[in-house]
Parts: sequence; structure tokens; C-alpha cells
Amino acid sequence: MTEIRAIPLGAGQDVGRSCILIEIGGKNIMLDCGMHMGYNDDRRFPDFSFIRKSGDLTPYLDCVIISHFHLDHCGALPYMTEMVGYNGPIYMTHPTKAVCPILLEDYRKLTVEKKGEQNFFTSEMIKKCMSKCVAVNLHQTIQVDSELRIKPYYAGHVLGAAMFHVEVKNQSLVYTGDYNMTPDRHLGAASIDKCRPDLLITESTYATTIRDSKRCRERDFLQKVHECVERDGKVLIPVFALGRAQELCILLETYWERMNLKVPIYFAVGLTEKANNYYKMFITWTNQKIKQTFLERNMFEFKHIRAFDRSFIENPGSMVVLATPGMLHSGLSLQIFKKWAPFEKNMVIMPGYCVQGTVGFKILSGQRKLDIDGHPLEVKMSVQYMSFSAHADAKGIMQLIGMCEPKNVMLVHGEGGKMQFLKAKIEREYGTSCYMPANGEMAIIDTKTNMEANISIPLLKRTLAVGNTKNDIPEPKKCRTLHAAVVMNNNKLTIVDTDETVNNVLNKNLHHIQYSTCLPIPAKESAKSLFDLLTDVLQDVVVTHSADGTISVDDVDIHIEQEDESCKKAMISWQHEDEQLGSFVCKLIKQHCKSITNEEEN
Amino acid sequence: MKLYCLSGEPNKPCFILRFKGTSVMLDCTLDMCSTLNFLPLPVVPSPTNIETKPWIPTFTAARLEDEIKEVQDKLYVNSEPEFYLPELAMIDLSEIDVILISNLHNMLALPYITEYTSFTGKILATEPTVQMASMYMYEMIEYLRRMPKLNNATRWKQTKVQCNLPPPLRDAIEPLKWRKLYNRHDVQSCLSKVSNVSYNESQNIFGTLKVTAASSGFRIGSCNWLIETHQEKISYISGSSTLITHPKSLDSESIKRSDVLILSTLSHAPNESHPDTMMGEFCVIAAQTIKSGGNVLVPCYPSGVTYDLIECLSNHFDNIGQSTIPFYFISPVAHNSLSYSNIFAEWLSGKKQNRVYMPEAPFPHAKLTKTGRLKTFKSIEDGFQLEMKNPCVVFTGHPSLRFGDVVHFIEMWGQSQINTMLITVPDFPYLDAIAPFQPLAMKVAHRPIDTGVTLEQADKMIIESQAANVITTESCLSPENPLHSDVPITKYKRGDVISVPIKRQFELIGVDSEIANNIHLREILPGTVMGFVSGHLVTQDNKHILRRFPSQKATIKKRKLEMTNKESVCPIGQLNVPDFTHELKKLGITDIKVEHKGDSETVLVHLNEDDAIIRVEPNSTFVICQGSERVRSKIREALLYCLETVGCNR
Ligand SMILES: [Zn+2]
Repeated sequence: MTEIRAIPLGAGQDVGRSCILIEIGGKNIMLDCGMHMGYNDDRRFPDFSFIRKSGDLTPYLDCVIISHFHLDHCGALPYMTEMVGYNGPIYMTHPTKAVCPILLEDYRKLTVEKKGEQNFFTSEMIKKCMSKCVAVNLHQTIQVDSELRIKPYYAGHVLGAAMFHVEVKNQSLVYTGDYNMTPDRHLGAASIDKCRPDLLITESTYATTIRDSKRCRERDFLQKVHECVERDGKVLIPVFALGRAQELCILLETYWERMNLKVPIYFAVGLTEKANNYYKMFITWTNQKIKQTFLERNMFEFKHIRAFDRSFIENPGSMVVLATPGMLHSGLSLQIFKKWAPFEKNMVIMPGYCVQGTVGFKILSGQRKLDIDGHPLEVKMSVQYMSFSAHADAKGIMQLIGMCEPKNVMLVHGEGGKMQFLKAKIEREYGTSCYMPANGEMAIIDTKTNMEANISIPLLKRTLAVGNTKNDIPEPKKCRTLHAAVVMNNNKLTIVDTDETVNNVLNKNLHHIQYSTCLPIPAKESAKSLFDLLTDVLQDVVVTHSADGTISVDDVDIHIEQEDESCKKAMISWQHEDEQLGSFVCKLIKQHCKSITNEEEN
Repeated sequence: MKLYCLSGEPNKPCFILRFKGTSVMLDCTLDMCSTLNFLPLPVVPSPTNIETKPWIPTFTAARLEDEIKEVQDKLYVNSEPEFYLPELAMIDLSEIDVILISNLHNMLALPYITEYTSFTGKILATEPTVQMASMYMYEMIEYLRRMPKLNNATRWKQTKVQCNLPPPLRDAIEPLKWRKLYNRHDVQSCLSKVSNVSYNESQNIFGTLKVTAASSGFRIGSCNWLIETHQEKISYISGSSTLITHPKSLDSESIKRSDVLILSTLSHAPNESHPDTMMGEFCVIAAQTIKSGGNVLVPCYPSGVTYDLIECLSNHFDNIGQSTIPFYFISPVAHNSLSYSNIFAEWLSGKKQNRVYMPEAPFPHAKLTKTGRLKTFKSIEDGFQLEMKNPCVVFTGHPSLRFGDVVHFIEMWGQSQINTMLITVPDFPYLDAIAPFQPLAMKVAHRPIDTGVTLEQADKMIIESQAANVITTESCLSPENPLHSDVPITKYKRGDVISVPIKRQFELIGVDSEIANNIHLREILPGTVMGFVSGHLVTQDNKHILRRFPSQKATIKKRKLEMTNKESVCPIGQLNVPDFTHELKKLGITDIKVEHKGDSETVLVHLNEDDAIIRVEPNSTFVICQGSERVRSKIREALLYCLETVGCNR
């Protein structure tokens, strides 16, 4: 098995509904199991019939890995496990396991209770699904089975977001999920070892953007909010309950305190306290500064930010409201938006990416005349886009590639056109192949791997001792020829000494053949000049020159014999197994001598 | 493998493991029993109940009256308490590549090493271990900082003075090596040098060793260490617990298939004192004291079992309708300890972890603090006097009873028999600990709670580990306390150097896929498959790889030379000379003279016309020719035709 196969069921040249099927070393793995929030039909969930036409998926998957709690990465999980059927292991970090069911339940309520949709997963299903999830720690190696290992790394992005290193025998890949290469106000930057995977599957949301400094963007944001409330406007910031919301709260809180502002800030999120509780308890997953100060002051207890009530929508005067959901596709944020949109002095700030089909996406792409559930709406309020979304930009993606040094790269979770640009850049700058399969399309990544074998220690030591000057330390990077027998031992290839093995197994002795060839050489040639010639030509072979005048080229020995003044000879000896190198050295010296004689004659 | 034992105390481990050219220090624990030889330090400079008399020696003129005081016929050193370090002089500490820390207790001597020796290596520990150890360190520093300045007692330590002192001072071990505690700056600098690891996060040490921390169930973040190469495995078992309390449970799977098992820590507690029994009695005694109007004093460390004590006791009080009794936790790090315990969800038992998903704090002390039932104070002077209500339960340090607020409470409550001191920390001989406070009217109950593995559990671990060698401390075992498993056991004491041979046959090697695919394994005997392999062995970063021969190309004066990759076969058995000469003739060599060398089995074959000699022996053949490749290749062809071969198909 020398290839890795990858099929995106979602997130292939697309953002939303991340779900990638992988076949590596005979194992089948699903990376993320997200839903697409831009759709209300079947396209909402990945098409699991790719795995099996119908029925339980358990026999067809070795494990499922969830990178973080955003619904476009885990939203289809209860559907998959409870409605399609899957009982195998699902891995995610502790904060993901804590937060994921809350967001799922929120979304379920919205879909089923508000929109009245049938055929959606139930609360009970979410519970059952979560009981199949195994929580993992950062950097902990989890042995899924005897051959498959996974290891999570810190990804920034949101609380508990992780990148996963997946290893099967000698093949490996890294899946990033969403990540962020610059630390922000509450999370650190993603980081990974130089693990040199065969394949890096990276998100590419901001494939073409090099974002300006974070500080500038923050200042810009605060200025816009401040200007709007100064002129008596209302500011709506649609957010998701966990993640960006907390960062913006910290930002607003400190600014309000510094500027001594009195305009109310509301947090219209059902789970404010709960959400902040998670941050308190998983503080080890936040950034260094918050961790260090948590004993004195909890960054997630806000003074200026109060809970929102629906009746405040009609209140006169300025205010700032953070409300869910973040893409204005339903719920309270959409409700507020509908009320405030017709007035010029108001402002909506979209702090993150919006998937196609959502109201957020429409207004960001410049649409001002909307049709929401059959009602026309003209947007007169100011629409601002502030990219606070914690994704790596092009620079960050290149940085991560440099960090882990993959042999191949695959781009997902981005727009096709932008991916094309990044793909070219990666291939140019790193010289690695880069894949960008569309949904349902298979990428086949050829991996060249070394096979693992055992080697007998005495044999190894003997071989490494060839041409050694110092006792124990083998000269690095030089090659030494090894000829040996191979047997199977406990199902593992085992390399052993030929003599011994032939003796033991066949009860016969090896017959050694040694060849010695005597070549006349020009009188002015010396051991030194031959040594120089050989070292020059055979750059990866160990060539040594010992005190008694013998030159060793790996296992081939050369003695220089002086019979009389005019006649010098080189005696080249090697064993049967070294025929290739021996005859090569012979030819080399012969030709060298010939060319010298020719020169002299000319 | 060589093991240097820098400490002999069973539960104060410190080793240096030399293995595969790498030096690994396993733990560095501080022995605090030395502090029992010192006078208890008052918290505030005020008259104490302890009646001291200066002690005048008769055997020496040395002035000892400032240094040594007599209390209740026992002698104590009147000085800042000192600590007994592991035997750091055993090897040059600059040679240590890495220090592995198992739990917070076993880290307490680390600042002496990082700040006062030539050590410059790496240090690995889990995050909770580092946080909790730092609290223990700061707590002790703070306790000692608060006390009034004392003389530096050194005269009594001189060997000729010490050997004439009455016991126990006479028997104090190597007091000249005792050291004062490090300071805040030392701790800060030391902790900044520690790298965090997770459970099951393998770390590579110079490509030769893989070290992994495996959960040991003893404290939050405590671990056992696995030190492995591709073939060998050494398991280092430190503080471990098979009980399910608050920490993540023991990973017993990880130590299986070990070559060597180093067992450094075993429970102090006698067999009959199971921790659950002790905990039960602890609660009952505390409740009785409270019921009769007395106060309960619990000398304790700032974390670990203290969390269990608070949890169990508050539950017990709830059950008997005593929910209003206040708990006071007095330590410079009490607040920090409680806060930290609630953010280490990943390191806690499954039950505690599940609470976090609610999200609720994993420990009930979070709720107790919120409702005001449990209050924390930095010291008795931190507003405690105003808050205190009788009867109450006070948790405070230090459990050696030589420094910290506990000294104040013993003095304050010691004279009344309605109060009880409940000693649960098993690290100090309790009668020695309370001796300078005698006579005490308050009740003293000794209910040691040691969650560590017992001998019986150790036996089970040894069997499960399938270890070929077990190394354990001399003082853990005794004729009454033997280990029952029949694995050879090596006992160590302070200063020992133990060599354990690890038999190893194989090393791991990566074989280039092209070579691997070209290995033709054939069943040469029923059940035995065999083949041959040739390649270039490359060793880099201690990893071995067998590569395909690079095709050598050389150009000398415009003539190209090329080395090709050909498969070779392996000749075996004896050469039949008549067959061989026959074959040579077929190849066109006619001038052949066969010469038998005396009565030996050696035969010389002369090819005079072609300038070659072949010397044939039973198991070898030597071919000497004068430079003609044409002749040599004919000889080679004939040889391979006549000899039996194994290997690839011809
Ligand atoms: Zn995301």
C-alpha cells in the first residue's frame, strides 16, 4: 500500500460541510463531519453513500476525527452516527467534547422548533452520539488500533481546536481543520512538530489574503463602533456563541473602560454564562497571558457587557449588540438585523466568513435589496466586514508547511479559484505536489516509504565499523555496503548475517570467493593520488587510507606494490558479494592509468 | 544499562539512568525528614508553649548553647530547617541530558540542580506537576521567610561533635550536606526551564531514546515514565495508585512488556490501613470532635489528598447534618491550589471530567468556596482571626509540624483536650513530629492516608509488566514484607550503581521500498523462508536505512564509466575441481594445470596462458589475475556454474 487516497465529501473547493474520507495504509478515516449552513436540503449533510450505499458505516470506517466544535466541522455527527449508523470511535479534544453538544442542540432547536423541519436529529440522538466520542489531550499519542495512531496539536482558531497527525505504519498525514498562525486576544497560535508527513491537508479559507496587522484591524473595528454610537446609531455584531464572541467582548470591554464610554453593550447569547464558564475551566487552552493572570482576574467576567432582552430591539438611542448566529441565517441576529437594516445611521459588522446562501453572504457581496422569507427588505445601514475570523492567511499556510515539511499538500475548505493561486505558490516555493480535489473527487497521493525491518545488532555494528577511524562513532552520511540474509521473524522482515544463517538453516557453509586483480600503474602514481581519485569519484562511499598504504573503498582493498624503480602495481581485492564495486574500481583505475599514459605519450 | 541511585529512601527517589549513551535523571526528591531535628518555628515572634533549655555539652569546649536546645529531654537544632538532598556528587551533572519528573513531590529538589550545578539539559514534566510543585515550593519559601531570623547552626554538624551528641541528633545522616531552602528567584528560574509533556506524548531524546509519561493515578498530572528504544523498554514506576480518587487513573497497560522495571515508591502504610478505612475514620473522628465542641486541626500539603479530605469531610458533615461547620484552608497558596485544581479537567478521573462537560467545576470545593463554607487565607494574619468561628476544621501546613501556620494552631489548641489533631500525611514519623510539642492535651489521631501501591499491588504490577529484571529499594522489602513474584529483584541503596544487562538482538532499520520489493523470499525448508539483500547502509540521527546502491557514474577524460545494479547470488558448499576445470574449458580456457598442495585440501589451479591462479579450499576460493577482465569474468562464470547457490533466480 504505497498511496494515500482522499475524497472530500465536503470542503472540496468549497467552504462549509468539512468531511474528508481518507484511505491510508489500509485504514479508512473520516476527517470532520460537518454540515453546510447555506443549505436546507440534503446538501446540508455530507453524502455518506460514498462510503456505503446504505446501512451501518461502522465496518467501513476505522475512526472519525473531529478538529473543532464549529458546526461546519461537526454538525453532521449525530446524523451520521444515529441516523445513518456508526458505532466506531470518534476522537476530539476535551473542550470540543464539552462545547459541541451545546452548539448542536442550539442548531437543532433552531431548525426543528423555529423552522419546523422534520427528519432532523433529536436531543436524544445528540446525547447518544456524544457518548461515542473519546476526548483526547494535546500531544497525546492515541493508539486507535495496533497500526493506527493519532496525535492532536494546538490549532488556535477556537477553544479546543486541534490539528491531527495520523500515522499508519510508515505513512502519515496531518489534517489541520481550521487554524490560526497568529496568537489573538484569547488563543495562542497553531504549532506542530517537524513531523514530515506524506500529506498535509490544510484549510485555505484565506488562500489569497495576506492580512494586515491584527492591531490595525482591531483599532479600525473599535473606531467604527465608536463613530456609530457617537452619531446615535446602533451596532449589530452577529457572532457565534463561543470563540470570536469572547475575543470581541475582551476588546470592547477594555476599550469602553479606557474611553470611559457609557453606551450599553449587550450580549444576546443564550449561553453567555455557560460559554464563559467553559473558557474559565479550559483556561489551559487559551493563550499564555490569560493563563498567567487567571488567578488574579478572570478575563471572561465582563463589567460593561450585559445580557440582552428582545424588548431592547425597539429601544431608542445607541447600543452595541453581539448576537447569534454569526452568518445572519436565522435566529435573533437576523431578527435584529431586519429591524435595524432600514436606517442609515445603524451599522452591522460581520466579523467572520459567511457561507453562500446566508443573508450574511448576500449583504457582504453587495446585495442591498433582500428577500427574507418572502418579505422584501432594503438594507440602508452601513455594512462592514471585519475579518476577525481566526484562519491562517496565505502567509500562515506557507508557514505551517514550512513547520511540518510535508511531502505533498492538499487544499480544502476554500474557494476553487483562490486555491489555484495558492497551489501554484506552494508548488513553486516548496516544490511539493499540491492537490485540490473537488467534492466527490479522489486525490491519489503516491507515497514512497521505507519498509520497517529488524537487523541483527552484531551485523549492524560490524558493517558500521568498516572504514572507521574513531572507535564507536560511525562516519555519518557515508554509505557502507551491506550484504545479508533475510528471514521472517515474528512476521517481521529480519536482516541477519549470511554465514550464520546459511549455517543454521541449511546446515552448509558459505563458499567465499575472493578476487584479486593486479594492475600495473605508472611510476608516478602513488597511494595518495589513487586515494584522491577514488574519494573524488565515489562521493558517498567510505574511502580510507591506512598507515600501511592500503586504500579501502568500502569492502574493496587496494595495495600498492613497488617491484622495482619502473614497475608499480595496484592489487585490488574484493569478495564475491562486492563484485559490482570491485569491478567498478578496477575499471576506474585502469582507465585513469590509461589516460595518464596517453597524456605522457602526447 | 546502568542505574546510579542518588537516594536510598524508598519514597524519595532520585536516579541517573545511563542507557544507549544517554544520561537520564529520574526524579529529584527532597528529603524533608531532616527538618524534624529542628525546633518548630513560631509563626509570630511571641512566647511559645515550648519550653526550651540551652544544652551544655560535657565532651567539648565548642559553644553549642545557641545551636542546640533541649525540649522534653530531647535535643533540637535551633536554626532554620535544612533539607537532605540526593547524592548529587555521584556523577558530573553536566553530563545529564534530560531530567524526567514523575510527580510534584519528586520535583522539590530541582531548583538545587538547575540553579546550583552545571546541569544544562532538558527537563520534562506534565503541566499540573509543574504548577502544583511550584505551589509547594512557594509555600515552604513563604513559611520560612515569615519566621524571625535565626542563627546559622553549623558547629554541631562537625563530625567529632555530632558523634558525641545523644540520639537522634547523633544518628542524623550527613548533616554537613544539609542545605537551606532555595529562594523565590531560584524557583522562578528553575520552572522556566521545564518543558511540558502530556500523557502518552512521546519525546525523542537524541533519536536514541523515546520517553513517554503514562498516567500513574497518584496526583493530578503524576506519571510513570517509559524509556524505550525500538527494541527495549525500561519502565520507571514512581508514585502510583490503583485507587480511583480524583486524578486520572493508573495506566497499567503502558508498563506491559518491559525489560526492566524500576520500582521506586511503595506505600508506607501497613497493610491493615487501607486508605478508604483511614478516610472513613478521619471523618468520624473529626465529626466527634466537632460534636463535642472541639476544633479539628489537619496538617496537610496544599494539594493532593487534601482535596479528597475536603470532599469527603464535607460530604460526611452533610450526611450528619453538620453542614454549617466552617472549613478553613490556610496556606500562602491555598487559593491558587483550589483554582488550579479546577482547570486541569484533562488530568482528572472520568467522573470529575464529566462534570466539566456540564459545565460544572470538577471539585466540590469550588461550590464550598462560593457558598462560604470553605474559606482560604494566606496566613492566620490574613484576616483569619476576624472570620474564625468555633468549632471549625482547619487545613494548614506544613505537615512536618516544624514551620508554617500549623505550629501556631498546635500552640493555640494544644492545651485543650476537646480539640483533635488529625495526622494524615504519611511522610513523617508522627511521634517524632509531635515530640517537641509534648505534653499535648489535645487528642492526636494518626490516620495515615497513603494511596500509593502496596506490596501486593506491586507484585501484580511486576507480573503484568513481564519484566525480566526488577530494581527496587532495599528498605521497601523485608523478610516480613517480601515480593512474591519470582522475577530476579535487585535492591538498591543510596550511592549504589547497578548494572543491568539488557539482551538485545535486533535494531530497527528502514529498507528502501525498491530494495524491499526485490527481496525474493523463498521457502528453503518447510516453514523457513529466506532471501538475500544487498544495499547501502546509511546511518543518520541514529536511524538506519538500507538504500539502493546509487548507480555510480564517473567520467575520466571523457570516458564514461557506469556501475550497474545487478543481483548477486550466494554460493555455498564445496567446489568440485574437475567440474570446474571442465567448465573453464567449455569457456575457451585451455591451459589448465591442477596442483594439489601436499596432503592438505588446498588445490591450486594455474591458468598460465591467461596469467591467473585460482586457489581452492573447502570453503573458499581465491582468484588472482593480472588485470584481464575477460579472463576474470570467465572464471567467475565457471565458479558460479559449479557451486551450489542460494538466493535469487539465475
Ligand atoms: Zn472553524
